[in-house]
Amino acid sequence: MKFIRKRIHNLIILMLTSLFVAGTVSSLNAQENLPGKEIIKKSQQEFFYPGNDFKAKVQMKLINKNGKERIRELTMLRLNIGEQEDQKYYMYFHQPADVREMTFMVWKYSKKNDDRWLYVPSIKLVRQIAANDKNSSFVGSDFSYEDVTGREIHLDEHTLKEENTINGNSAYVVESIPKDKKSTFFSRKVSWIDKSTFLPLKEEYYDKRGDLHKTFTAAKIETVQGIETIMQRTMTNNKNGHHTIVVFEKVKYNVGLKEDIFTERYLRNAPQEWIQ
Amino acid sequence: MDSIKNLLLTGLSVFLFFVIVNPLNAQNIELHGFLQTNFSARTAETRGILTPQGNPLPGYLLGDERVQLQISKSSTNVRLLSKTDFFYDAVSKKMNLDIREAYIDLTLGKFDIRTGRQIITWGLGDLVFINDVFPKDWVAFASSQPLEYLKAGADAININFFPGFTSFQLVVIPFYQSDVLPTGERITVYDPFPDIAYRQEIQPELSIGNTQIAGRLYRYVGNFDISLYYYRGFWGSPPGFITTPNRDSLTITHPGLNLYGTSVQGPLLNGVLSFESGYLNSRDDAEGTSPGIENSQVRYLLGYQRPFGENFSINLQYYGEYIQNYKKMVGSLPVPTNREELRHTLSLRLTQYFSYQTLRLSFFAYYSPNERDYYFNPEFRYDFGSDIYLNVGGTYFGGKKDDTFLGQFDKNDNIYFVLRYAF
Repeated sequence: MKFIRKRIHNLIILMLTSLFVAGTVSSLNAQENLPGKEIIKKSQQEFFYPGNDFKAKVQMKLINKNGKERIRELTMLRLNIGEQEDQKYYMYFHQPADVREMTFMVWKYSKKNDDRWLYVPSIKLVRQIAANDKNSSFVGSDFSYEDVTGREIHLDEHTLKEENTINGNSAYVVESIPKDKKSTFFSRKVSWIDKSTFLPLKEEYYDKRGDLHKTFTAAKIETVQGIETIMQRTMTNNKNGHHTIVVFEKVKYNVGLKEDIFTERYLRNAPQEWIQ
Repeated sequence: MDSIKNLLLTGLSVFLFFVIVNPLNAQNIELHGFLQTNFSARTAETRGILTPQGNPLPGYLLGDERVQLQISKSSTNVRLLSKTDFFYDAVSKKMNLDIREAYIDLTLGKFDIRTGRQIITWGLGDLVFINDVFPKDWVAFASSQPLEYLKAGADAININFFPGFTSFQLVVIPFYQSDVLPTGERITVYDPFPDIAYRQEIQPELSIGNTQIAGRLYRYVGNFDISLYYYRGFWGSPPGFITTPNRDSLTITHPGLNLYGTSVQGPLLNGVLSFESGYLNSRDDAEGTSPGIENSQVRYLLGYQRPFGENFSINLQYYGEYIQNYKKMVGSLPVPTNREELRHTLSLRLTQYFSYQTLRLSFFAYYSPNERDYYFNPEFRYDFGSDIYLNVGGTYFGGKKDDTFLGQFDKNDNIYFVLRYAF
């Protein structure tokens, strides 16, 4: 009996040891060679979630194939909520003149459709607007709502294809394929993600026929309060030549935004201390 | 007289503006606005219809050239804003000005207080108003001015309190302002007393007891917006009327109105669901037997809007208006009516964007299946750049009977265009 007990004891130790070794090895592997999903997850954290909150003045130039420009200028406030990857966004439009003082609010949820509200200053109207159209153009630009607030990671299958160099930066090249083909306009997305900062340097979206549809490029990256931040980005529609250049100015993190900013009170009455 | 009054008011507001602005260290004064041309040509046949002055109805509803100037100054807790329109009306050949808004905003901790002339919009309806009791300009609407001109300013104190668990809004309007209603000079509508030439309007007396009070309690419950409304004031439209026994004069009145309402809006099946209702208690005619006073009513609205694809959206609404003492009302009226006890209406708005939202096609239809009247508004909008846009559209009214809510506007069909440069 004693012998058997010892055998069992040894067996348990062996099992535990091998579990521990296997765990260590796999975590070592993960660090050296992160799977696609982990890279995208970390990239989204660095791109859409840095800091507790964020404030910036955003300049958008919407340029058609003939070079004709339209301007959008807005102040964007963002606050991260809890551990669930939920966020709240507040946008105040300075330009164009026709939508000046318009405000727009998004409560973004990781597990369900976002809630959006719009305030129309000329008639002092607040209305909730439907948010299932994540591929719709954001204020007439080449960026969609999803490009502004991030696409849910679980919607795509992410695969690390290779490691490559882009503009002198080493990058992971990750391919993302939508699980539900009907859910979005692209059939495949290829992302070049900086190995050190995890910011997306370039993204290519391919349409259902496999043709290049639109391309994202990060043109200027700066360190703000120790956080690597894309200060200028471009989205180009490769099919019609229309493109949108977005420049961030006056970027600040951890400014102390409170949740009450993201309510009807401030939709109707923009918080002057935050929007300038 | 009105223009002199307006001029004085503008002078006063500009003076006050600078008196207040200076101590606040006069900088950051912002000037914005727009230049606009807005024409609207009548397409309905109006032969034989005369204005109250005995002239033929004008073929143009609008020949409007205007400049809007918005001057504002903001600091963290104070904001001053004035928005004034200077315009030339080519139909009446008159120049005029309109103080659209002129107010001071104070932010004091949990309070936001706006004092002065202001536009307030309540409720969830798309061109359907239940709890929005604030002044409206129906002539601007029917003659196809841009939608913002349907809303007129009210001279009010608007106190907002945000203690956290719920939000409170209290609007106090000491000076009554009537809705702008058709008088037959430009917009012609059904007139139950065509033979009465002498007409006047009596507004509620200026007294503390006649101060209009509107209150709203609102909060989010999950991701639903819930509001409760209360109003104690007067019927704006339709107003009341009194005729003398020998039918030689007609007086437009504004009988008492109490309103209790509610609204809920939130996400449903990839769209947004809206529900709004109100009980309109006609307090000067509790029995419902006065022919010149609108009967008490229950009004309700169910709406649903959702996008389909990337550039197309639909907004559907059902609206019902239920007259409380219908039989008594019908019995008391001096002329027969085609109004139903429960008026049903359906409305549909389709919006389609093209070319990075530079081109918008929209279509709004409003139809009552039991009173058989309608309103259609197809519209095309094109943005020439960031600051210039062109709107071209048509406004069509009609109905089986000429005295129903929309049917009476039948002779005002028009095509219109608006060209605006904003700065």
